Amino acid sequence: MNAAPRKTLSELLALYFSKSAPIQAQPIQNTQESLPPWYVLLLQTWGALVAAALILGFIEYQLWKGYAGMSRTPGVFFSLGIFSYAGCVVLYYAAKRVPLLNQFALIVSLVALYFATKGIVASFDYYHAHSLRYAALLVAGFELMAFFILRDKLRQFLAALVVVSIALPALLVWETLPYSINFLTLVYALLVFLAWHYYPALLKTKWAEQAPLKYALVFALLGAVSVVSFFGSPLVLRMDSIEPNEFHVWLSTAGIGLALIVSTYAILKRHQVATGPYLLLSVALIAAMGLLTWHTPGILTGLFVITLGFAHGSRVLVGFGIAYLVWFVFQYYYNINTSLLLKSIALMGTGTILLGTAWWLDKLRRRAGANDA
Amino acid sequence: MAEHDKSLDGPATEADLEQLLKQGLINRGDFARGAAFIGLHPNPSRWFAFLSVFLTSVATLFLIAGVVFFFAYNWASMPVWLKLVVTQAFFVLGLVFSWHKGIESLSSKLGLTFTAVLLGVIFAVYGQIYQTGADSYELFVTWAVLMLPFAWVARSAVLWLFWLLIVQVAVSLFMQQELGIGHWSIDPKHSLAVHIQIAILAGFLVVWEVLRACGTPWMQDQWPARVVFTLLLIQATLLISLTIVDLVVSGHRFLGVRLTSETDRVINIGLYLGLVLAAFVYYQYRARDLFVLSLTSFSLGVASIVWLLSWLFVVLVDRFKFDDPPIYVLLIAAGVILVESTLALFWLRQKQRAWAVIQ
Repeated sequence: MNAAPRKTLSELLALYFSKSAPIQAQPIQNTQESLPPWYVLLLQTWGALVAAALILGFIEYQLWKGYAGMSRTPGVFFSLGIFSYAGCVVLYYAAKRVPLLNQFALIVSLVALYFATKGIVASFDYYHAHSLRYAALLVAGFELMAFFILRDKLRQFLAALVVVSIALPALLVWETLPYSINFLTLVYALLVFLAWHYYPALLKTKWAEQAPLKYALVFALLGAVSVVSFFGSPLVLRMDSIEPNEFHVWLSTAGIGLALIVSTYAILKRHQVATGPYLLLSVALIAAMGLLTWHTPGILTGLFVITLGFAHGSRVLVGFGIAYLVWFVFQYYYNINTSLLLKSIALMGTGTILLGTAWWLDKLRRRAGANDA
Repeated sequence: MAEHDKSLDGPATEADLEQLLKQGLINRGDFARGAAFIGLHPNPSRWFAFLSVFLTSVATLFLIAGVVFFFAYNWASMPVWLKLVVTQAFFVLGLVFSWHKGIESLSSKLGLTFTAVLLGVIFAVYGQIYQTGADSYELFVTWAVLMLPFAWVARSAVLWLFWLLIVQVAVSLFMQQELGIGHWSIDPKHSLAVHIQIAILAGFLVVWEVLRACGTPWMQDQWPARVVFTLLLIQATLLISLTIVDLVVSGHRFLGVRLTSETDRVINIGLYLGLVLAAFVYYQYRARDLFVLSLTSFSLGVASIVWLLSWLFVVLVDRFKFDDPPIYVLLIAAGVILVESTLALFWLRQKQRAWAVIQ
């Protein structure tokens, strides 16, 4: 990615305020701490997950041994979960700035999440589909509470991810899955667009500092598209002897294509070129891509996430988008029902078209530069 | 320098803009203007540059995959001479394209990468036609040697990393086919294979970092060193984990099997500790890379978990009372991980803050 020249905070303030204005000191002293990089968050998650798994192993063993004669009672798990959540909330409020307690609270809350889910699921008939749906909704309620109360960014991200993804398991037990999951990808894609493009508007509301929600929505979208692609792939369909068109994967491709068009329009509008050839060209390209890749929605999703990430200066999103795109391009060519020779010709043809497009864009850029000069 | 001044001289971030907006000092329009000013929102010129790099890179990947598939198809009806002519024509085309674009351009570097990959394809096609009977490591060795001038001229990190990959494959195949030494097999003599792979990666990383420190312009990006370090640390962590399991579990009276020799264990521990120490010192005081420090902390965490769980296993086996195993060890392990991860996070956050202020 072509990096922009770094500007200092004083240069930024000079953009807004005259030198004589005395307000500069205030925002700087209160400037919030930047988020840790993704790999530090990953380290934190890994530690918490392993510790939570070990604690779960210990508790489950005790319950299995039947120390509490009520080990089969759902109430045990449910109470355990609820008490742990409550303890977690108290702990976060009591020790927001103590890293050890903060990490401990994260671990306990993960254990709590497990037991609350288990308790709710066990309280219904295990094999009855509705129980899972209610369990999912109740867990979503707990996590929503955690999202607003807890202050740890990672825990907020996990809570947001649980809340926004909960529709997926809820839908999985419905008979309408083949249709509804496509609708869900469209909803996620539009929510992702809104959350990223209108983020400054959220900052002025009580949703301030809820940046984890933006990332959670993106990951929920990637998850939903992965599920669509998995169930809609020819291999799985063949295995389960489901009718090939039952999942209507093209609906997801169309939904994400729509979100990509809206997103591109917003970006072009930012640069005052939302009308004319740029918009037409973008819409035509997205439509062509959609038509060519209708059975692999992951390709347009990858492009959508890359566009969004670059437009908002998020390298993490660009990275995930590229990884996602590469995986689905591979899947696209793997699933084409044709010979290796035709596949190779298709690959070389696509490569040549892309090279031509890059060359044409370069020409456009030079022309624009010459006009500016 | 006062704390206040340090903040002012530090790089402006999205968090600063958010803070200004939340305090009501700027409006949404100002936020967008500020985001463009600090480079958070790219301007049209950066969009064009990004799209150009993205499309050219993807196009190169497609072309490489297309050419490889084309010859993997082994088109029986294609005459031998045509196969050779087509591969070599692509090869020459790639060279001419790179020369035409000028060596400093991205297109030229990608063109040379394409040509370097084609070298391997040419050897594969040659082997396919004439069935030379040569071992496959010979193909990779020749490929690596002939690719060197391309990597040298291209001055591209991608091409050098690709070269490193080919070297690793060549060495691995050589050890398998000539010495009968496999990778990660449960056999003491196979430690040698891993030691050699680690030595190659470490050697490459040291040379890369030295040249980077000397100010070689095209080597200033952090990501190539990160990629090599990650590969290196994965191998070293697997090696130390195997050694720990071997030390704690395999020598136990119930099992009595050793996976590694005494000498290998000493080498493995020495290699791992040396690597971790070197990473902590160099990437903390010289190259300043939080990614490497995080990864190394992670590796230490993994090694300690392996040790704890191996120990737990030994304790369980030793007691041999499955009706009442010392399951509390799980809580001790969880506690150790809690403390370890917190200490690592605390330290990494401190480093992040300190380096942000210095920047």
